Amino acid sequence: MTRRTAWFTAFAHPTPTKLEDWLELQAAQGWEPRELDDMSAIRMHLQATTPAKVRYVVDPQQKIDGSYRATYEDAGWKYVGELSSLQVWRRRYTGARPEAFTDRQSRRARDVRMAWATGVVGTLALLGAFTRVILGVAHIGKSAEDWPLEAGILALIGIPLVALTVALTRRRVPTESEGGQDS
Amino acid sequence: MTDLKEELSETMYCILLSLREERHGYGIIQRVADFTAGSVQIGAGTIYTSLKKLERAGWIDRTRTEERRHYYVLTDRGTRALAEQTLRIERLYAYGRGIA
Repeated sequence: MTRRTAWFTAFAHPTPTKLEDWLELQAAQGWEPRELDDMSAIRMHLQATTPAKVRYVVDPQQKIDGSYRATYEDAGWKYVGELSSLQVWRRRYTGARPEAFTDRQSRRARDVRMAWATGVVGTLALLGAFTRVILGVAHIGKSAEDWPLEAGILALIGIPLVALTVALTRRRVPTESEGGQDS
Repeated sequence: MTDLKEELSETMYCILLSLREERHGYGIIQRVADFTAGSVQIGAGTIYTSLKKLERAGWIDRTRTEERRHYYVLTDRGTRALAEQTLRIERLYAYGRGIA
C-alpha cells in the first residue's frame, strides 16, 4: 500500500500542536501528507515514504507573502501546504527537534491567531443557531418546523469552537526556561 | 503604535541589535546566532512574527524586497528604544552585581 486516506472526527486536532504531533507520528511510521486542502481537516491523503524523524510545524497565517515562505525555506523548512489558513511546514532532523517558534511571545501569538479563526467561526455558528431559534419560535420562514435540527447542528459546531477559543486564549504558554515545547 | 518596551524579550532585543544594519529574516537569524555564539536560536515562525510586530510598532522599517525577501533596518524610534533597553539592562546588571 503506497497511499491511504485518514479520516478525522470533528476537532480531532483542536490545536496546531495536536496536528503536528499526529503528522510526526505518521512520519515515524512512514507516511506523509500527499496534498493539503481545506478538506484535510477531516480527511487527509497520505503517501508512503521512508520512516523518518520529521518535525512538522503548523502556523496559522491567513495572509502570507513570498517573504514568509522565503524565511522558512532559508531556515531549512519545506512547505507542505495550506489547510484552512494553517500553513504546514516540515523538516527532517536527526539531533534535537527543531522549532519554528522559539520564544514565548511568538508561541502566544500563534495561539492568538488560532483563537481568532476558531472564535470568528464559532461565534458566527452560535449567532446562526440563536437566529434560527428566534425565527423558528416566531414561525418566520418557509421551513419553520426544521429549526430545532438546524439550530442544533449550528450549536454543535459553534460551542466546541468557542470553547476551544477560550482554551487557547487562557492557555499558559511555557516560558523560555521551560523549553520550546507547546503543551 | 504598539508599545513594546514592557514586553521586550531576549529574542526581540537581539533582533533589534542585528538590525543596526539592513538584513532580511534569515540574515537576522544567522547574525543573532553568530553574536550570541549560538545561545539564541531564533525560529522562522518567531522571526516572521517578531518582524511584523516591530514594524507595526515603528521600530523597524522595510527597506526593500529582493528575491522574495524583505529587508529591514532600525528606524530612529527603534534606535532610541534599543539604547533605552540597553541602559535598562545595564542598570539591572549593576543592581544584580551589587547584591550577588
